[in-house]
Amino acid sequence: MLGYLVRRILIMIPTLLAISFITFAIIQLPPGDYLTTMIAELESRGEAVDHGQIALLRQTYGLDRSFFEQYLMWLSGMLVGDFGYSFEYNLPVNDVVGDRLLLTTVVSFTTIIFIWVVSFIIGIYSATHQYSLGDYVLTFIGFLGLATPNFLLALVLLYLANVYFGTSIGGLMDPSYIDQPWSWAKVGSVLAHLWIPVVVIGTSGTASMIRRLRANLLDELHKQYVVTARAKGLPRRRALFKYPLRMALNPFIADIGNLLPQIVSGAAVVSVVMSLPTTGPMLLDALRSQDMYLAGSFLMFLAVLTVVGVFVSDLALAALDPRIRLGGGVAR
Amino acid sequence: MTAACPAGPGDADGFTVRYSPGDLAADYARAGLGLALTVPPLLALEVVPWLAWALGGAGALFALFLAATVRRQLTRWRIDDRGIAAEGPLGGAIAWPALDRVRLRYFATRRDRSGGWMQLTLRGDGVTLSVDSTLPRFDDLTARALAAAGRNRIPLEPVTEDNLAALGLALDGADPPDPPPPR
Repeated sequence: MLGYLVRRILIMIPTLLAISFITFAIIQLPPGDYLTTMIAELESRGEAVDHGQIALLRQTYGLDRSFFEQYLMWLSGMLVGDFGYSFEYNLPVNDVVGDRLLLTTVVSFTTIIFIWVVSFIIGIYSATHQYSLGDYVLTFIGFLGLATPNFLLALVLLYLANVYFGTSIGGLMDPSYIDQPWSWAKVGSVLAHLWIPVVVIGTSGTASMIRRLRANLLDELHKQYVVTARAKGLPRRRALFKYPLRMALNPFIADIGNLLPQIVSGAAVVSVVMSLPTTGPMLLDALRSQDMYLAGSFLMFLAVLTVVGVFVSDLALAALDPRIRLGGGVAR
Repeated sequence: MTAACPAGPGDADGFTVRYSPGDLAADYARAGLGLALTVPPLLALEVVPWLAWALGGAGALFALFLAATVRRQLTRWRIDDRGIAAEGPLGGAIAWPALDRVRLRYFATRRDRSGGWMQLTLRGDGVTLSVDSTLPRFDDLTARALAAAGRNRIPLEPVTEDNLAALGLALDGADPPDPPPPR
């Protein structure tokens, strides 16, 4: 296992370096920089532009340096916790981001747990009770979840909560806690508000995971070894949990890496609709205004989530199902 | 160092092997590259604490892997009718009659699970020995371990059975199980 860990980490580090380079190249691709955009805006409004001050700003923030120099400055800065400067907010990126990364992580991981727990239970029930009334009802709800856009579900919930309960369910905490230091009361407020975005963001993922688990488990349950085990008198529950369920769980584990960035980036529109203080809306603004360091930091955050997610899922898969895949070679 | 030494006097039924220099060189390169990527940033920069923990942890793993590679280079494996012995630092020996656990696992670093390697773990006499499939004559060693498992009536995990089937092996008296389906 040590050799496996070492090989996987050795793949991770260059991958992250490559992603950081590509991310930086992409946010540098549009012509000009933030200051160019600012000059154009000032000139379009007929306001005077102090070119001396602009040159000073460009020098201060290293925008007059070569691409590689800027990249290395950004990369080494990230290692020491300096993610650069947000031109849009006139603040260091760390101050602008604030609690958003933490809240995004909390929402994402809670959503994943929600998806797993709900789809695990329903998927097993649907597969073991195929074509029953419960299976039809749950399948129908699953299709609804797949077909309903998240932002629409958010709007419907916002409307229902306002009309029937007279409350606003936007945000991730009571307004009185915004920009306040963390306290148990603030944590409680976040937890009280958390379930709605989790349900909204997780619905489509849950529905698709139910479909996959149901299909995979049905596939396994119809295999000869399960039929033989049942025919030999193995109890139904043991014949389910001993082997078929473990095999059907592979997509759950393998999907961690894909699920995390999908949830974070897919939640951007929901975050706008529900006024969630997560990374999505700010990333959209940063990309629009060419706020390169802010956008780059968010994109790197997504990349780290993806790479770490794939790493965790690979480790879990290696522990859960260390079987050879025929057709793949074994090193000798 | 030889990849597969001939068996010595009195070892007519056995063989002695070491990991090949090429395999060890690749592992040394991995350990060196890993240490080069993780340690210098820790020494040269005031890395943020969470990243310092991550880099430090990874660096420690690479150092451990380096030590394990050195141990593998210094270890000579003797396999005969009596049992298996790892002669070298932190070595050990298991007599076949004392063998009480056999596990064969497959590790792949690619998402399509190809291009990986197997690891045979044997336990007995209070000793656990792990051998990678990069060891010369790994198949012979696995066959002997399997024969001992059959004599000792050791139950095998389904994963181990599947991997044995991929090698064309099965417990004595049993047909090789169907190989696992491609996934």
